[in-house]
Amino acid sequence: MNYDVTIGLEIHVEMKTKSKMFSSSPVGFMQEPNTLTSAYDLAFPGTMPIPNKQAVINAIQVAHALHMEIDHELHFDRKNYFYSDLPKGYQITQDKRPLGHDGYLMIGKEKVLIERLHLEEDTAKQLHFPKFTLVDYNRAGIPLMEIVTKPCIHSAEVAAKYVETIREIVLFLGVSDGKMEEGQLRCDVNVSVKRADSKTLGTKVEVKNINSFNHIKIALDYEIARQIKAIESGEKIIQETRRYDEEHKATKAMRVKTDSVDYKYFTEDNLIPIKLSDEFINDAIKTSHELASEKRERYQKQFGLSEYDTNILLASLDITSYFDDCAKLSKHYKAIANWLMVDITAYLNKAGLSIKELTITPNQLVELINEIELGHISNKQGREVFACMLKEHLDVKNAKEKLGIVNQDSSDITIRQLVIEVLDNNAQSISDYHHGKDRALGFLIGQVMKKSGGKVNPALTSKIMIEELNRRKK
Amino acid sequence: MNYLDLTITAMHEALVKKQVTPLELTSEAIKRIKEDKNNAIEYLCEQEALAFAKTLTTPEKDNPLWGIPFAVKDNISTKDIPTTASADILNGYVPIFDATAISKLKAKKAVMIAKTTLDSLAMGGSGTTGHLGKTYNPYDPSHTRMIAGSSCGSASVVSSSIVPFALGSDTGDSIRKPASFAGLVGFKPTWGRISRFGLFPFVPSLDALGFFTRSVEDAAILLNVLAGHDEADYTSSLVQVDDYTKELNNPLKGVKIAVIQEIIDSFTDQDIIKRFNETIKIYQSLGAKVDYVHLDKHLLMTLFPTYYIISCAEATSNNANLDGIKFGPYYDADNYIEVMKKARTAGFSERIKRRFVLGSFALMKENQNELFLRAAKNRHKIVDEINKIFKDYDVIYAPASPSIAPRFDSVTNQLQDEYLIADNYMCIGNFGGYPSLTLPVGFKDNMPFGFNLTAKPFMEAKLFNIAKALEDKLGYFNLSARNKK
Amino acid sequence: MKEVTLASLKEAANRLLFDMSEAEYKTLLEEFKTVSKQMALIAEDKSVDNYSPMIYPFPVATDSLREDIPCKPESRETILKNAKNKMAGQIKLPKVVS
Repeated sequence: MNYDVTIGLEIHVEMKTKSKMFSSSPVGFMQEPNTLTSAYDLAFPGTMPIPNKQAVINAIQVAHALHMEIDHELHFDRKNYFYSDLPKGYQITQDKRPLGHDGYLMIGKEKVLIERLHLEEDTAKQLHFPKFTLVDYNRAGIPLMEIVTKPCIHSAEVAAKYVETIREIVLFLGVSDGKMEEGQLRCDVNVSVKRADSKTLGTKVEVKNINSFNHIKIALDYEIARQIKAIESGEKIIQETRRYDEEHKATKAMRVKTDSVDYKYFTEDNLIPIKLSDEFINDAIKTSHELASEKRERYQKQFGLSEYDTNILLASLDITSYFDDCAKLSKHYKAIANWLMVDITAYLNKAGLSIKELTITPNQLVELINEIELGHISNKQGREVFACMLKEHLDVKNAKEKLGIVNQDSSDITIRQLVIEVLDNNAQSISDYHHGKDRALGFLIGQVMKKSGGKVNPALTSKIMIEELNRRKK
Repeated sequence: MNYLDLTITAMHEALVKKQVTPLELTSEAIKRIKEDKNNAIEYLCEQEALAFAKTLTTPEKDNPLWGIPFAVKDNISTKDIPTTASADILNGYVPIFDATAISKLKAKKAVMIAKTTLDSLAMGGSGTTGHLGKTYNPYDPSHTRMIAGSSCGSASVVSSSIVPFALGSDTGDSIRKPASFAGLVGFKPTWGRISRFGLFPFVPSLDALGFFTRSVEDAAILLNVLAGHDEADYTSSLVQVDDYTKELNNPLKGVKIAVIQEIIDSFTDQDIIKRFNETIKIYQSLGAKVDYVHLDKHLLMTLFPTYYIISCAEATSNNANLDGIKFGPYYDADNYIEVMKKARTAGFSERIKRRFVLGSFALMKENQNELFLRAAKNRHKIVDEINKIFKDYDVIYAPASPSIAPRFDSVTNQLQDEYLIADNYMCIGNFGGYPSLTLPVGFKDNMPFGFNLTAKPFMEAKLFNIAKALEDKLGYFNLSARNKK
Repeated sequence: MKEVTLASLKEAANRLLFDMSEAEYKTLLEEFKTVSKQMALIAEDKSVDNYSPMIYPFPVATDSLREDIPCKPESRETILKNAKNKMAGQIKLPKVVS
């Protein structure tokens, strides 16, 4: 029997603006509890919401990246409900007119339709202990955007890929760090399954509490299998909310959904409509940071990097920023990528540092790469210089001096003379080379290096050596 | 005569001439509060006021509020001074910030003397539902007549000459109605003209922070200080602020006054009607054109239900922050729902709970179209009709209350014209965000009553001009129960 | 329209997180009758539904938004000084079961 799977996602993204959505309290993560608040965040009577421009700009940028229609007027509504983490007894959100509507995102060949993107404010954070709960209002009021798909996804794989793509978008736009583990990106998933030949829709089950990208596919695969099994054994699927249980890699029933809660939405009349001019919207879009997908294309088409290298670089936004800085200074794109992927990554991992903490600036790295590419120093010497720069906090010139490295001779004529001298004295090796013994080439180059005292550029020497050897071919 | 009996303007002159000091005025105001028997005060700022008044030694000639004592309705946030909106659920609450209006008055070195009582959470019109129970009308020493509310305490202290002005709030007529019963000028500005930051919200789109004074000029002077855009109130207007005193003494020639016939028809007290007709003659004699215009009576009868539904509905949401967790009395329980429920059950009066339940019904998904949204549509219709009148007229004029202050034990039929229209039509001022002012015009049985003028948005200067012309003619200036003529 | 009964009023009060006495619910039921009659006045005028719900007293809009500049936050002592049940710089509640 075939089954139709239907998945819809609601993603909440916590923004990393400097101040909150409707108050000027600073936004920060992992700070001392209740040190980033002001009267509005705890709903003191008489406080009023004042909307944050950057949060609006961020939402426009994400809505644009999701190919959405952007409303030229912002309207806010109240969602009324009582909960211990909700200071005002209502949340300001956009019910009737979301900032963005009717967009899509391509996931491979699948088009995921996105219904709406709207702005709202986060709730307080609760810390649960066995006998009590502590409430920290630092999070209360941090700008959120909620992105809601249509129920149009038909596999766990596409759903998981969609969430990852959304994360990549908000990360590269600089809107959020998108860390699921830290709740900066939260997703609720609606899953329903029905027999392919059945005309009636499947029962919608909501899965919450998926706290890691790695768990999305596992949780959804489990939930889909659970529902299919239930249908096959003739059980009725209950409309309910389930939570993902990381330990058992399973979804567990949380609560049955009765009549949907009535949030008694009405317009927030402490705010007035906000007109967004074409100029404002276009400026927001124009000043957007480059999306991951755009970077990926640029790195491959413009810089000639492989898909493999591109993906490694794009795994970290900070690495791409460093790369982009270097790429503005030098056209040795492949070399820059290699340094970042190999030596720099190895060093950072070992030292437990992030690229932002790297003491070598993009300027210095490019200078080092130029030294190598110009043949002034060998690759091996380059690595020594790099290590010395890190260790002694020196620039390229001083590191070279410290290591006593002098520039390699790269003049064609000098090298050719040495090559000819060596060949004249090693007839046997020439013969060996011409009979296919590649080792002979290495030996001959080694002789040249020795004669020069290691001061010639090995790559150039090799090139000239091959030319001269071919000339002596009978 | 005591200097505290003067209007702001006259008191300012005496202060500048050093005939009296802020400390003397403050001490006298405190003394009068302690002797007062009208149940008007939630919190007396004795130490704070005296300490501040002592620092005021050099009169500021160009600052009309320098050293002037004032009182504040207790639903306006005052830093480090308890502010409870006369609701048990806020007992003990001490705000950590000042309302913008308070900051502005502090900057002008006016001296805050007391927080005044109100109908709990400003939800009521009788001046009987706050912490102190009934607030009495200072004109009635037998304590049988109300002063009305919700700004009952502020009306009372200005009427008793304890202070020359007091801040209030007006969502339906909460300043303008008590002003009528207390013989005062009661003013609510255009919506957005005075910042609401720090005013406890009841219905944000109807709420206005306003004040009581004992002269029209004082009201204009106060608006000069309090008007203006505020970055802390997103709904506060960017419309240019006027000098609201500049038109005060303009001749009324060319001024057009509309009287809505169907509103006047709903009044039954012939003494009020008689006086009203006399004032119309005065206006005409001053060169104003007064016309009777018509408005569908049926529409007028829907004013009150429209107001009631919208205000109850929004009040549920605006008071949902009151749960005993962040401020106010905390009640222990086994779970957070019970914690909140205990606080709210104990902290709200029965009357308020009834309004909340009614309001929540109006907002329910299955009812919202028929109740809340229909009321909002009707509000739209009402405002459209009023705006049609304002196309041809500067102000709409009518008595501010059906009669003099009612007795506490009087009963009203809530389905009668007199109740639905005469007693409640002033919410028009809130529906359309119009500036609106009540001024004293006469006495009956030794009790004062007032008439109301309502103007187009942002036409406060004109409104004061038209009000002052009548004040001048009638001589009802600086009335107080203390210095009854 | 949801039917107005003692039970539905109790449920509504419960959702607003407070309770009332039986007598109070009865008063409320009576009050609903008056309000319903008053509301019926509005419903009589069929032209009302042609109007859009009025939210602001007159047309208002803005194009100004707050710049994203953080203020100095309140100290923890100040922000929590009105809260009665506290622990370790946080507000303490009975265990919230989600």
